[in-house]
Amino acid sequence: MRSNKQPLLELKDVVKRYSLGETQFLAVKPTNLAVFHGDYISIKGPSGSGKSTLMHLMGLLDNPSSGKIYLEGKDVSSLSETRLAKIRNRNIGFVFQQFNLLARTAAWENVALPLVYAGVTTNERKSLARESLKTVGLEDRIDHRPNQLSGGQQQRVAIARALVNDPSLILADEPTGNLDIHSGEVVMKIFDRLNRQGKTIVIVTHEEEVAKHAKRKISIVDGVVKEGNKASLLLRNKWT
Amino acid sequence: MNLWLTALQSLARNKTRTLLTILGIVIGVGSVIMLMSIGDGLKKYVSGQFEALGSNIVIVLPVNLVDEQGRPATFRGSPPVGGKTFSEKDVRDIKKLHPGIAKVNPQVQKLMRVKSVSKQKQLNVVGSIDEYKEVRSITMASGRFYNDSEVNRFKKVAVLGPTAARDLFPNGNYLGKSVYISSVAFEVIGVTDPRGGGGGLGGNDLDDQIYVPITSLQKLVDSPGVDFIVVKAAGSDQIDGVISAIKTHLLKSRKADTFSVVDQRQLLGTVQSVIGTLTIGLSGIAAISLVVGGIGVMNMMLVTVTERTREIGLRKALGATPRIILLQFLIESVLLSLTGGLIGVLIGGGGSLIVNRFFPTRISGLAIGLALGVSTLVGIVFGILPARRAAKLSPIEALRYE
Repeated sequence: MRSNKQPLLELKDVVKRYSLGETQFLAVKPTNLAVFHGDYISIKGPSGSGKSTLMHLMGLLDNPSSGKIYLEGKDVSSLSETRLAKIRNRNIGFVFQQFNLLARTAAWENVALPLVYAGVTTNERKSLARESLKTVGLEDRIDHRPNQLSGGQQQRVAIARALVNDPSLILADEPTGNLDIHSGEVVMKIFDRLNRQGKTIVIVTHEEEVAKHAKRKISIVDGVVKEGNKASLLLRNKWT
Repeated sequence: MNLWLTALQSLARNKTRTLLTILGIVIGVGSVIMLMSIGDGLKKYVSGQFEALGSNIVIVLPVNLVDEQGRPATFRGSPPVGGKTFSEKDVRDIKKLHPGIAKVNPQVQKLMRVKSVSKQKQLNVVGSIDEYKEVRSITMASGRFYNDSEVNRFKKVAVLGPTAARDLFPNGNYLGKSVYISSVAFEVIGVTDPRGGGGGLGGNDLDDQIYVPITSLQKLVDSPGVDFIVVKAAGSDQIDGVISAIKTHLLKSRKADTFSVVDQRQLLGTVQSVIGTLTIGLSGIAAISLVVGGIGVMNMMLVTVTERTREIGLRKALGATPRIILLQFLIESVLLSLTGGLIGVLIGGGGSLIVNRFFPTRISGLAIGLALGVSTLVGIVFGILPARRAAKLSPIEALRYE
């Protein structure tokens, strides 16, 4: 049933190659992967497996060495940095392991940062940021600065920031990596709820605890991507 | 837009560093403003002095002031006043040279210590003849100017400018009293009306002078020479004829480069252009510190870009285009150097107000505009490299940066 719909994000024969001096090194080996609207995917792999590179490709932070990436059917694999920045701004929400909040900047202003680049007015930014903080249960912390918030709260601010522009895809890179077990659980429950509400979520992790929240599990080892959940026809990796 | 606010916040975050960075620009702009204000003040002062000379005036100086091309000559040999002088015969001869010559004023001018009973002061002592009053359009506040017979009879009489009168006779009672010039008593016979002419430049304020018959001053300094001759032409159409007649006459007895005959406007132009050249030269030297300041700004911006690599990566991931990142850092460096420029203008302006108490200064809008414009330019020129470096950062590399 999925295959009848157009994927939200599709990687076709995507390869990412780095050169280390003379030798070339494939961080991501030829990969086909489709993310559909409403998906909740975990990408699991040990460090050095290429999962960060895959995440960067999916987040349109990097161009593939070869192959194509389609966002809503549109080829975005060789666009300029400026075009990609605008697409990321509208379509992709990022959650990082390090939170990456701006220090000495109020929570709401951190949340509103993507709106600044989308050209939203100050008043509207504040009200949208407030709405978004409400979604992660931090409506009473809008004026707090990152150093006045716990790690879990900071990551929730980061999630609110990823949500504020209503992107079609949320990419989280080790979102619980810097959190204690309890805070990590709280964060994962927010992702669960967001997915139930229809958000498409991709989480990169090396923890099974985190990966098991997802509905679709993908693993990556040595740059080779495998669909981990039962059998999926969507993954046609030549090396599996 | 909101980039200005972001830049302001980031500069305010590191106040000490920001202030130290802009110090070079503060000093550069401050000294340029001060030097330009002194130059402008001097120009204005000089114009005032020349206007006070009266109209249709030709000045004969015993020194070569202007070369054949009309450019300011270097003063070889004698200084403008005090060296080779004219004689009484020169004055008499010039009087008969040309029908367009209305009046001829020989003048001796010396800076001397003048005393009253209770006070003493360094004053410009001007020795001339009675016609000086008409040529210079002097009006009297009280008493009278010295007359022809007093000049002929070496009378020791003196007329004071109002400032000199106030300083030497604070109680206001001066007519008939004595002033002592080099210990020789002169009777005060009058005080002139204020003539203006700028703040005090080495006691050369027109209101801070003392006028005595030329004969008695020549006797006092024991020299029969005349420092310069002021000739009043009958009309402005006569000036050229008068100048060439005097030149022709003087060439008979002197070498070409030992005197000059100039009209007021020409002389003013020469002096102004000397001051102008000097001001530009000095300001140019001061402007070098602007370049040093600009390098400081560039250094700080490079450090900032490195420090904020992760922030740049994040902003790019969230949708900031390279152009916006470029603008963000460019605005920051412009704001940095412009702040330095503003502080420099305030300090330079304040300094020139203080200097104005001893020396004429004038702060022009042009100088301020120029200073602010140049500091903005410094911000752009020295900010472009760090800003480009920030704009070119790859978001992945930047986010990975520890």
